[in-house]
Amino acid sequence: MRRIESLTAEQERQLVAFREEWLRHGLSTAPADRKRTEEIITDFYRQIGKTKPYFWWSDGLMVSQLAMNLTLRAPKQRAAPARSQKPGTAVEVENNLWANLGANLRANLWANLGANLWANLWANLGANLGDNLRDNLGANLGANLGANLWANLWANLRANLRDNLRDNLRDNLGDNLRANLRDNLRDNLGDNLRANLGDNLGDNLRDNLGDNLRANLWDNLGDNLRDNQLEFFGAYFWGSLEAYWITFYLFPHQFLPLLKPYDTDKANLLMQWADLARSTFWWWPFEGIVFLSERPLSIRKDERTRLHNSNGPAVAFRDGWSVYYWHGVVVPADVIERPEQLTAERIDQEQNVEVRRVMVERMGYERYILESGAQVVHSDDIGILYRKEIPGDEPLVVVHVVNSTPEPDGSLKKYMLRVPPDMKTARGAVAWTFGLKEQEYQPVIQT
Amino acid sequence: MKSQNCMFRQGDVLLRRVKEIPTDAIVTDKKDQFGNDRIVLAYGEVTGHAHAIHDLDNVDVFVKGDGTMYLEVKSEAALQHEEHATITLPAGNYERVIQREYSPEEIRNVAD
Repeated sequence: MRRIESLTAEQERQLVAFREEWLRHGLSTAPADRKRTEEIITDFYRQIGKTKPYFWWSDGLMVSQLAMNLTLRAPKQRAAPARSQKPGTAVEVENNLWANLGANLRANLWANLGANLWANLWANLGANLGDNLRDNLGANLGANLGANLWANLWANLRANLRDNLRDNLRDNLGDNLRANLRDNLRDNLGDNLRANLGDNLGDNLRDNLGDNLRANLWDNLGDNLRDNQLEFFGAYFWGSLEAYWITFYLFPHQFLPLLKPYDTDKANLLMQWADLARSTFWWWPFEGIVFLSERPLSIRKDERTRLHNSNGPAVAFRDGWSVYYWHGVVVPADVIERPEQLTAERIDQEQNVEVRRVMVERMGYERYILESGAQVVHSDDIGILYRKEIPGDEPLVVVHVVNSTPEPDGSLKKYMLRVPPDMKTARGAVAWTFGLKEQEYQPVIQT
Repeated sequence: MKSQNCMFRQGDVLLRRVKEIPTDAIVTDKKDQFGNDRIVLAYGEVTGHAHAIHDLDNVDVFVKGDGTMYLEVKSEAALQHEEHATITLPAGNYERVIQREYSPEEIRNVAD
């Protein structure tokens, strides 16, 4: 076969279209294709010699986590901590829950549920596939494709989609989910998630596990989870956000047919993974049961593709769990939704430098400077220079500039601009905003 | 009037006199982003307002590769903006400077 040095113009066009198509899949907020997802995962189980599992779908990552916490945490793990067992305490409630759950779960599910199949699936269908594809594609590309083409595929598919899907979204979601579970869940659980869980348990489990279990879960759930450290199940399996991995191998298969980079078995498996990435979000495989999360309801980014939404969550799931970002910085919801309620006092107590900066920006330099007791460093005919010391961060120095043209009501519009912390005079600060030295800034007319 | 003293500020746009326009600056169309006949020095981010010159016969525009804009004002021309008083620019060569704001991570241009 003739060695391919570069893509044809047509293939270049296909590559870009392919990348854009997969970015859309990766960032899809459509409901999962549950039927197709279950078909593929059932076949994965079959390939490693397991029977068809039970599929427990949740509306989002948080409810999936809670569902796994409820069903998978081993009773012996839960009884072990040497904590208070006084009546009414978390541990007492926990043990009570597990005593009730145990009778049902151990008999019905637990014996079969214990093993996490992630490693098994990964070894057989994931790592193995990856190695195989890489070896095959590598060998083929080495023999048949020029280095430029490899770099082109890498840059367009793997690197581009990885930045967009994995680094930006996947890692953020994972980190946030973990933090949320540990820190914030107690507050959130009461209403939103409890209702969701109730619905889920009601719909999914009533028929499967019987009224006894459901009643027990429902009654105990709120108190139990509210007071407990929950376990974060991090070892999810891939869905739409992992498209970056799959497409790199998929493009040669679909668009460079002469290469025939993979044997039939591997090509089929690759197509299954691709199909899965088009159909669903993350999932967690166990012996006998798979937990699956629906995709986000919305994903919002700024022009630099950082997670960002100026008036709501940047990522929201159908189960009510959502995360708020300001240009890539994760912040509490009210910083985005109710910036007018921010106070200088609260901002000054915020420990995280990045979050504090966002808070100041959301509150507005003007209000923050005036409310925080900032010091007037200097004032002249150009404006007023303020300085506010911020523990652990560089000082906030802003110049209050006055527009020379009166507003229709005769007032003069003022605006504040942040300037470098070493500014000493208002004139010098304004000169800096125009890239000039203080003595250079001598406008003959200002309007 | 000394050239370094000859500067005009209209809101967040400053025009400073320069001796000559750099030779690597290229003559540019006197059209705004919608194709209308006017020279726009800066657009407002939200309001749609603009710092603009309509006396097209009196002014030529040059832009360098890095985006720096220069004006050759051949005879008096008016710099207008919806919220600011008009400035009459005397003949001469000018460099356009857009006001910027400091940020610990990055420096952003201001848009009013």
